[in-house]
Order: sequence, then C-alpha cells, then structure tokens
Amino acid sequence: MESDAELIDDFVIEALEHIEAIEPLLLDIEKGEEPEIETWNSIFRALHSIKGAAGFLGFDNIQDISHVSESMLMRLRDGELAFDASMVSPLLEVLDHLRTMLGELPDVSTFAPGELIAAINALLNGDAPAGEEGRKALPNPAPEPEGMRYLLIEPKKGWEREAVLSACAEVGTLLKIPGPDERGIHLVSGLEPKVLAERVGIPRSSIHIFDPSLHADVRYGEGESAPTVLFGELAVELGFLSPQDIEELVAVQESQREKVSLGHLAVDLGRMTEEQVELTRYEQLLRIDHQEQNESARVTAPQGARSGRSDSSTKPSSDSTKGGGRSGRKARNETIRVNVSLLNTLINLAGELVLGRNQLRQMLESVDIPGLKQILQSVDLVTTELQENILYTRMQPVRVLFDRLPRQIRDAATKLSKEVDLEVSGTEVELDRSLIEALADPMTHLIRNAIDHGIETPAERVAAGKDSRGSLSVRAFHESGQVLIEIQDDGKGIDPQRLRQVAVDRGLHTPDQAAGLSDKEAINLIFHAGLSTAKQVTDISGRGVGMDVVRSNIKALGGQVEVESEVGVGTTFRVRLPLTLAIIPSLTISVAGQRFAIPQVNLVEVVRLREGEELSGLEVVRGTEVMRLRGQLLPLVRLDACLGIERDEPPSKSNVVVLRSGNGQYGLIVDELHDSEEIVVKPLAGLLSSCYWYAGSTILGDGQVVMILEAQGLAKHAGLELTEMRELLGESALNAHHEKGQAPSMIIFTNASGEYFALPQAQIRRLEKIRLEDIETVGQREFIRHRDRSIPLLRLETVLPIQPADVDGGEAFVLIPRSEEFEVGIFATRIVDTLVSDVEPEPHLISGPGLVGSAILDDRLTLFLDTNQLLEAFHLEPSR
Amino acid sequence: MIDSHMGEIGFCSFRLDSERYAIDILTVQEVNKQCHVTPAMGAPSWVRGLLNLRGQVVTVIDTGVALGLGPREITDASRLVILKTNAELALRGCDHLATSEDLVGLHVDEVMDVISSSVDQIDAPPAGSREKDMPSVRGVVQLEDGVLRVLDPQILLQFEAAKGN
Repeated sequence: MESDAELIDDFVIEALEHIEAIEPLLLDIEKGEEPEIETWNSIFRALHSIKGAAGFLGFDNIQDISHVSESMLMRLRDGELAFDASMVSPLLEVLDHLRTMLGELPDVSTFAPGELIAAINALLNGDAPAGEEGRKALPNPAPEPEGMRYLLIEPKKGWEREAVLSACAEVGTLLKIPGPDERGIHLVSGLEPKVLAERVGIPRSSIHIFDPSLHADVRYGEGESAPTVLFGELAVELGFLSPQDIEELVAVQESQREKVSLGHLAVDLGRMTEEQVELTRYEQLLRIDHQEQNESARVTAPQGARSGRSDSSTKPSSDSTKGGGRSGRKARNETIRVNVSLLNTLINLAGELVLGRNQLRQMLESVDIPGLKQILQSVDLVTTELQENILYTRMQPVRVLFDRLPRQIRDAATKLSKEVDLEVSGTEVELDRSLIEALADPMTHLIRNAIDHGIETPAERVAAGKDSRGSLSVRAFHESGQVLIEIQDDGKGIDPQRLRQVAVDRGLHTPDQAAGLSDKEAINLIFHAGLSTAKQVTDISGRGVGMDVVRSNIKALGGQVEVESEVGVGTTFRVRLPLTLAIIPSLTISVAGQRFAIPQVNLVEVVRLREGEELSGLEVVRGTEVMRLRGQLLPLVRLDACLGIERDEPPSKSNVVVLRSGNGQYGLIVDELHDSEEIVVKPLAGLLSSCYWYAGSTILGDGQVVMILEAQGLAKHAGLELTEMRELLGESALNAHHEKGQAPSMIIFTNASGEYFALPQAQIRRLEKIRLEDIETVGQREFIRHRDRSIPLLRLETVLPIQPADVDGGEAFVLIPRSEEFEVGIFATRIVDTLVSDVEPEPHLISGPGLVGSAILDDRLTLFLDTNQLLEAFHLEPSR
Repeated sequence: MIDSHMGEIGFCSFRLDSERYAIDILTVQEVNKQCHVTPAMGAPSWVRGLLNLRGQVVTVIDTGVALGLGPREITDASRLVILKTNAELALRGCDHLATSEDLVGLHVDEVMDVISSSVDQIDAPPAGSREKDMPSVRGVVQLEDGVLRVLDPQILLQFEAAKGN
C-alpha cells in the first residue's frame, strides 16, 4: 500500500507538471497564434503520458478523459479536424477537470467525466457547432472537494445493511460510527443523492444531506484543538439545542444510574429528532478526525516527506477508513516544487563550500589554537552532510523508470506473441532526476530489443529446451560509486558470426578484418549505426537505428553501455551511470607536474609500472604504441605527447591508466596517480568548445583548477581511431597464436623509403620513438640519448649495402635488441607493421652481415635481418 | 558598444607592450592580480588557461595574442581584467553591452587609470592605420600623452574565436 501511495504521489506531481506545461500552449493558441504541428505534438504527448500512467494505476476516469482529448489532438495535428479557436476551451476544461481529479486522488471514482467526454466526442464528430452552445453543454468542472456531500443514510425496515454498506463503499468514503448507537450509514460522496440512491438501491428519502461547509466558520479554529468535541456543545452550535436544554439533559443524564448517551436522552425527551442526533454525532466525528490529523501533521511535518510517509503508523486516525485517503493528500503537500536551476545553484554552492572547507583544513592543520580542532571537525561534518543532502534533492529512485516497464513489456510481448516474465530489483536505487528522465528512451529501446530480438517465441523456446516463458530481469545496483542498470534476457543471444557477416555485407569491414574481430568486438558491432541483425524489420524494432542512438544517449549522460551475450543463453546489457551529473567520482593524475581528472566511469584499471621496467613491453603496431596486458594488446596514448606538454626531463615513473572508450579500451600513459575524489564538474567555457578531449574543469581541494579528460575525445585527439583499435584487437588475436608457439611475429620497418626490413619481434627488447635532435655524434660514432644514458646507434646502411636513411619530420625509431652484453639502437625511420608469418626467407641477391634473406610479406619485398649478426658486424665496424 | 545616448563613458585602460587600450568600465567585474593559471593544453593559443576565482572558473585570455601583439609574459605589473558575463550585464541593465556567456579574464601587462571620455571624443580608427585592421578596436581617443584604443570585448572574443587556433 505504501508504495502505491508513493506511486500515486509521483503520478500526481508528474501529471500536474504536464498540465502546467501545456496550458500556456493552449492559451497561446486560443489567443490566435497559429499552432504548429510541434505544438500539437507537445500537448498530445503530455496528455498521452497522463493517460498511460493513469491507465497503469487504474484511474479509468482520468484515462478516459485524456484519451478523448488525445484523439481530438491527434486529428487536429493530422489536419483531419479543422482547427477552430473555440476548440481550445473544451481542452482547457479537460485540464481543469484533470487537476481536480488529481487533487482528489486516489479516490476519483465519484467523478464522472461522461458529459465532458461526450462534448468532445461531439466536437470530434462535428455534430455540435463548437461555440457558445458547445461550451454550455459542458458540465462544470468536477465538484470541488468542498462540494463533496456528507450523507447520512437512514436505516429502513427490511434493508440488508451489509449490502448497502458495500454499495456505499463503492460510491463514497464510509465513516464509521462506533458504539451501540451505530445504525445509519455515514458517508462522504460527491454523487447527487438521487444518483446515489439509484446506485445503492435505496429510496431517496432515506438519504439525508448534511452540509458542513455551512458551518465552516465555526468548524476549524486555527490551531485550536479541544481534547474532545463534546456532543452537547456541538448540538448547541448547530442550533439543535439551547444551552438550557443541555443543562437539563446533563442533569437528567447524571441522575440516571445507567449511563445513557446525551443523544439518546435528547431524543427520548423530544428535544432533538433522531436525524439531528445523527448529524451532530457525525459532525463530532468529523471534527475529532480533523483534530487528530492536525496533531499528527504537527508530529510528522518537521521530519520531511520521507519519514512523514512511513510514520503514518503513529497517526491515531490512520485506522479509520478516511484517514488513509487524507494522509495521502497530506504527504503530497509536504513536497514543494523548486526550480531546478535553484537546486543546481545550491549544489554548486555546496561544492564550493566543500572546497573552502578543504582549503581551510589544509591551512589550519599545523596551527595550534585550543578548541580549533573541535570547531573544524564540526564544520567538516556539517559541510559533508549539507552537501550530501543537497545532492539528494535532485535524486529520484529508479522506480520511476522501472514502473513503466511492466506495461511496455506486456505491450511488446503481446504484439510479438511472446511470453515474457519480468523481474525487477533495485528500484530503490536513486539517480539524478535529469538522468532518470534522459534514461527513459534508451531503456525503452533496450527492453523492446530484448523482447524482439532476444527472447524467442514460445515454440522456439520449447524446441531449444527452455521454458516457454522468457524471462527478462532488470536490476539496478551500486558498484564502485556508479549506478549500474542491467537488462538481462534468457533469449537466443547475439551471434557474433552473423554480425561479422552483416559488417562485411554493409561494407564496414573487409572479410579479413571481420574474421579478425574477437567475439566481444563483433557483438559490440550492434552499437554501430545502420546495423541490425533482425531478419525482419518489425513494428517494435529492427530498423537499425537505435542501438547507436542508445549508446550515444547514454554517453551524453556521462555513462557507458556494455553488452555481453552468449548464443542460446541470453544477452545482458549493462548501463553504467554516474550518480549525478554535477558531482562525479574521479581519479586525479599528473603528467609533467600538470594535474588532470579522469571520471571514474571511464576508468577500467590502473597498471603501475615498476621502476626500470617502465614501458619495456612496448611495441608498435601500425604506428600506434601498444602494450601487452594479460595477453591482449592495448593501444597506448601518451598524455604528454597527446596534449603537447613539454617536459624537461623524462618522467621518473610511469603509470598506465586503462580507459574505456566506446567499444574499446586504451591505456593512457601518465606519470603519477593522485587521489580519487569527488569533483564538481564545471562545464567547459564556450571559448574552449573546440577542445573535445576535455569534459570540463573542476576545482580541487587546494583551489587549483584542473581539466577533466574525456576518454573518447582524447583517443580521437591522439589519432587513435576505433577502427584502428579493432584492428589491433584483431592483431592481438593473431599474436596470441604466436604466443602458443606457432609462427613468429615480425616487426616490419623501413630505413629508406621503399626498402622494407623484418626483425623477429622476439629479438627486440624495446622499441622507442626518438627525436633526431637527440642523436649525438662522438667521434665516428652516433649515440642516441635515452633516459640519462647514451646508446650507440646502428644505422643499417653502415653495415649493409642499402640506401641511406631518409627521414622526414624530426622523429624516428630505434629498435633495441635483446642483447646481454651490449646495448645498441637500430635506427628505423618508420615502423610499418608487426606481422605473424612463417615464411622462410630466400637467399637474396644482395648479401651482407646480418642479412638472412628476403621474402614477400604483405605484397612487399622484405629483407629479413638477424640482430646477432648485425651486432657483430657493428662491433667490428669501427676497427675497419 | 559606444552608445551615443550615454554621453560620458568611463573606460578601464590598460597597457599592452607600450600601447594603451581600454574597455568600457561597465563591462569590468574586477581586476585581479592572480595571474597563475592552469593551462588548457591543446586550447587555442590565445586561451592562457583557467583560474579559480572564488569558486568560479575563469577562462583567461592572453589579450596580446588575441590582438596579434604576441604572448604576454607574467610580471609584477600583470593583471587580469575580469569581465562581467552577458547574464550579469543584463541583470544590471547594461543591455547595450556584451562580453561573453562565460566568465572571462583578460590578461594585460598593466592596468592603468580609469579614463572618462565623452562620446564625441571617440574617433573611428584613422584610415590606413593598424587599428583599422583590428576589428575589435572600435575607436580611438586622443589623450595628451598618446592614443587610447577602445576595444569591444565581445568582438575581441568572438572574432578571435572565429579565427580558431
């Protein structure tokens, strides 16, 4: 029940927001502004949302009235219905009607919008002229809450009390009068007595109307609350008795040995009619009820909406049938609508306060003033709590999102003749409101996809040995400071082979490339625009626009979406999101003394490189440096080079931060890792909008501004294309073969253009990019300065009869062979590739020291070298 | 920016190399001495970097680069002229003035006097002069000891932004 009440509250707030948004549009239209299709669409969408939610919650009245307005709008939008300014008026009345009904939730059963619906239908059918008459035909908006009538149903001979009671319960709210006096039925209902009599099946004459609003002035004094409401006083107040009557009655009552109620006495003595007694008693109850509510409101209000709702058990009146309805309304009143920009300002200010606090703490750490510590601690605590609570103001449970699922799933499953069971967990996980709103579309898409492409038809499932009902589980949970939403189906899974085929068919990849894709890479192709594996495009999905949109939508929220699938077992989509947009957990790193923040959401792992072994596993594939991490090749980006940060000396230590970017991962080479902390994201100034590798900036605890890196943008800036990363993964699959002891991997490089050389990768310890100005000449020898050391440089043309090196640009490479006794750098102008080949080199026309032979590799004549022979020749050379 | 109905205009004048420039004092939020900024690596050369100004991030512009006079060096006299944002200007009723949507600081060599000048003292840059080719120089004022070049900060930022890197 509790969650139902909350659901209804959320619905009311949302619906009111919709109404408020479209009202000005309607008013503008009425003023004579030519409505555009988009305007109609907005109004249509708003009413459609209200309708959907009302239908879900079972408020048929609201659903009906929204539905008929929706049809009208649809026809207006599509031009089927000629627009006339007078048509706005019934639509506005619909809004009024909706507002009234929303105010009365959860009990709207008494509202019969039939007449309004009929009036709109008449407009739709063009039967009635839309004008004054049409408007007159409309009823007044539903009765105000004050218009509810308090009715007393008199008992008649031979009636079945229970039957009447239950009939009454359907048309209004019952009020129970406890005690032996209970005879009639008291109820609050908005129905006309005549209608009520017909519905309940009792004669009209047995229904008495009491209108407490006539006594409104004496009913509820402000804040006053007598402990009880005395029957006698009330009877006087209502004018049924005079004070003298009371005195007499009380005297009689006290004189009697048996306790008789004042009401009874009054009737017996003929001072009041039975009806008057009932009404007085009735009013008495109302007042007592009201008093109790006032009291409970005083108790719960300061605790805020959350605790207020759950505290309803402390409310004495909650067990009365009426209490439930009222408390729901009261809980709504405890939320106020606040402008989002105000909340954002508060969040920012809280962020600043945290920064100020941090600075203060740093500065005062060493200061020794008695009592200062305590003050700092309490400031510390309050600031933290303040920030947390302010952040919570923007948080909403994902339930808002998940509650729409059963309906969506039902609809999609019905349409596709599939049977799907939904399992939802983690609805209480909270996310920033804007995230929840923006997630609605991607979620819908993923759900529909799962039902359409994932889960098989019952027949297929049975054939595959599965339960005929598919299951779809949607979970939300926290993981390392992020929120994960997992959508898992037990359907047929995604076939990587099929995706490879589609990728080839669509020309995304060559057959070779496609074959080189790992299964995971192939499955990730579903996020590629224009790829759909659905054999048939259905109404629900399969048009191939979608998964790429899902991914870009989620990325725009600072999140990530991943997919895992196994053929025949099922598919899991994992959406990773930051808790809020404004404050994100991040890792601070530095390179050449400059600090940067990396959002935690992009972070996969950190690889610390021990001193000395730094980057020694480094290889170059198609011009991209790569690192071997657990058997996989990881493309690398040097942050300093990528951002053009100049450094005076090489870094004393290096770390590789593995980042996730779209489909792939890459390693970012940085110097130092610092704190992991929550940062307040400041959007990038317009002047820096061209710097797509930054996600924004933030101010750290010490007051310094640092830039926040954007993983995908950074990869792009570094020239690391996704396709290239895919190719690398293809390479890594090939290299994995090599590791199993199959064909050797060769590094292909050039010295002079057109001449290709191959060296077995196993003979090379390290590959370094060098700048030509770092080459020094000592005597006849050249040395390359590298990490405080000078390594002799071996130019191939000095030992082999080949063209001298032609270098364009200031950069080149040195290949440093594995050699126990002597370190040498073999000069290369360009690293072309690494290839796995078991081609046996043939003796070449040219011969020379270190030259094994030649072979055609990748359509190129390539000279195969042997490092040991080369080094020997190099050693001999100076003595010549 | 130079509005004829205003009559007198106050200018915040500053020095770049040996030349004097000025902007409408109503567009100035404050002058700051804190010139140490966090560079935004890879940004256009006329963006020096970002600065924390009491919790707000200021984009600091190298006014020298923006005007084609070459990068500024930080000296004891260096100052940041922090401009009001467009929103701030609108809030204060200075609708006729515009700077940028973002909080921007102009790095200058030295901040000089506030100069008051009547509108008719402001001349168009003389034909053939270097100032004529500088779109952000909206006019010149002849002072006793030299020429004051009046800048339009919005054009300075927009024009340079359009120029790109």
